[in-house]
Amino acid sequence: MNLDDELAELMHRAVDTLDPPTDRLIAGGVARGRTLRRRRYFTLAAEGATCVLVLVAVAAMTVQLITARTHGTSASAGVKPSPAIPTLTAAPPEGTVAVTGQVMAQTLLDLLPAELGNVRVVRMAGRSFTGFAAAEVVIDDGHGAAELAISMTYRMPNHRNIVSAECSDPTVSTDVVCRIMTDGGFLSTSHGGGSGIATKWQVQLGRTDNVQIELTEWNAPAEKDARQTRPKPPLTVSQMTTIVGSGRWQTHVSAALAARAASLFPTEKQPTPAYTNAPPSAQTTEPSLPHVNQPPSAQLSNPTPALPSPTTPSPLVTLPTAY
Amino acid sequence: MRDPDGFTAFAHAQSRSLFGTAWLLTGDWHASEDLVQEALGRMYRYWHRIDRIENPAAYAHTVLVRAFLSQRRRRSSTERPVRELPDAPEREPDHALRITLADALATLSKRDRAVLVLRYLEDRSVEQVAVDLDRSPGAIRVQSMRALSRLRDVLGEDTTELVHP
Repeated sequence: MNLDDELAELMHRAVDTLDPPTDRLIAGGVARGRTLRRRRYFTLAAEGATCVLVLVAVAAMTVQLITARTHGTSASAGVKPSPAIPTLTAAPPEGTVAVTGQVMAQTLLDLLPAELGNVRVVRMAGRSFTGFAAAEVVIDDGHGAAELAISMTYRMPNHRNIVSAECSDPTVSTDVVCRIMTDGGFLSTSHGGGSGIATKWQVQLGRTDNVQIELTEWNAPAEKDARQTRPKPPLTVSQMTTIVGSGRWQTHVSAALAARAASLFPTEKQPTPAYTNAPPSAQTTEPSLPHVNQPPSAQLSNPTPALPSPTTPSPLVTLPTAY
Repeated sequence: MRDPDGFTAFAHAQSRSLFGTAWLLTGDWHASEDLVQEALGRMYRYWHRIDRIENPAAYAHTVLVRAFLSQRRRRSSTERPVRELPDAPEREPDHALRITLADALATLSKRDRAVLVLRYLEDRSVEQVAVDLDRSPGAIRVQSMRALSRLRDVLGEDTTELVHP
């Protein structure tokens, strides 16, 4: 026999009747794609010294959560309405700058429950032209260190469509609980999986303004190559949902807030605000953050805007963890 | 429109053939799942720029093969493929062929295996495989001939039986 002539046929005969778990493959692929994208952005941020739009921070600092809130909030009282959400095509509101990694870290610290104790900001990245900002922190509440990652994706309308397609197709959403909201957005939660040793829980909110907020947590101090330190990640899914639903997550924030966050989490390179066209005086007109003295529970109980209620039952499909 | 960007449709359409390629590369069901998910994940990451790719399906297979080579480098060099048969229902599966072929392919180096899979399962030219694996066409020819010879030796008398069961 001439193997050169027959090998193709043999190979096809061997694999053509394989029946792989397509749904699980796709769900796992999408999950990995999200992780790859987040890692890629952090890598780009770390290497982005040549780009003036890159806001980079690779910092290792330990801050008390309450201290962070003290420095990161204004003296105004109460929760004020969130600024209008800019559309992708609209010019950024006057006096605002694109969200930075520092702002993401600051906002996450503001929204985390106080009982989580010490929070160490480990990575921050924000790139206005890619429409992505993120921060990763490690918390230690005395029950074991755990990593949390928050990210905001905007300027990538296709992405929202891709992810929201999972909500519409229960054969794809094999490892997540996904709900279409009344306003057309979606909320997906996933808990129990992870690509490494650690258990990963994740909540994603896809808003109708093409902004996606993603909060991920592990029961280990690092996503990869770290031992589990606790049975479960620190936040409940309900707490995670409240955080991603907060109106504090905005694509453009006040220059004052960005500057304050940058000073709180100093970077190797000072951030270069994108799209800023406001005079310095405009900083004083920006919306304020929740009051510093407000108890965390009060902040969490008043997310603005509130999440729309789901209109359809969750197409939950329980399958083994994809990887 | 449920999937306006086509990723899930693309993944649905390609996952079976990707899995077949992965299975020949790894000889292992779970490793194949892992590899396909990795390839789909990489495609997902760049999906917003998919218009720049002339043949996304072929590109996905190339991504998978490269992921395979990359993964094998990262993992222990002592790790060997373990033959596993799927539990899922199949259409007249040729178990004997699978087992024999998987055993024979497992005796090859990972790169030799990749060359044969791309050349024979994917029906790619020597020149294309050279581009895909970042090697010269001459190197691919030599590798292909060497791998075929090795495979012929390993299969031995089984070859005729496999081709004409």
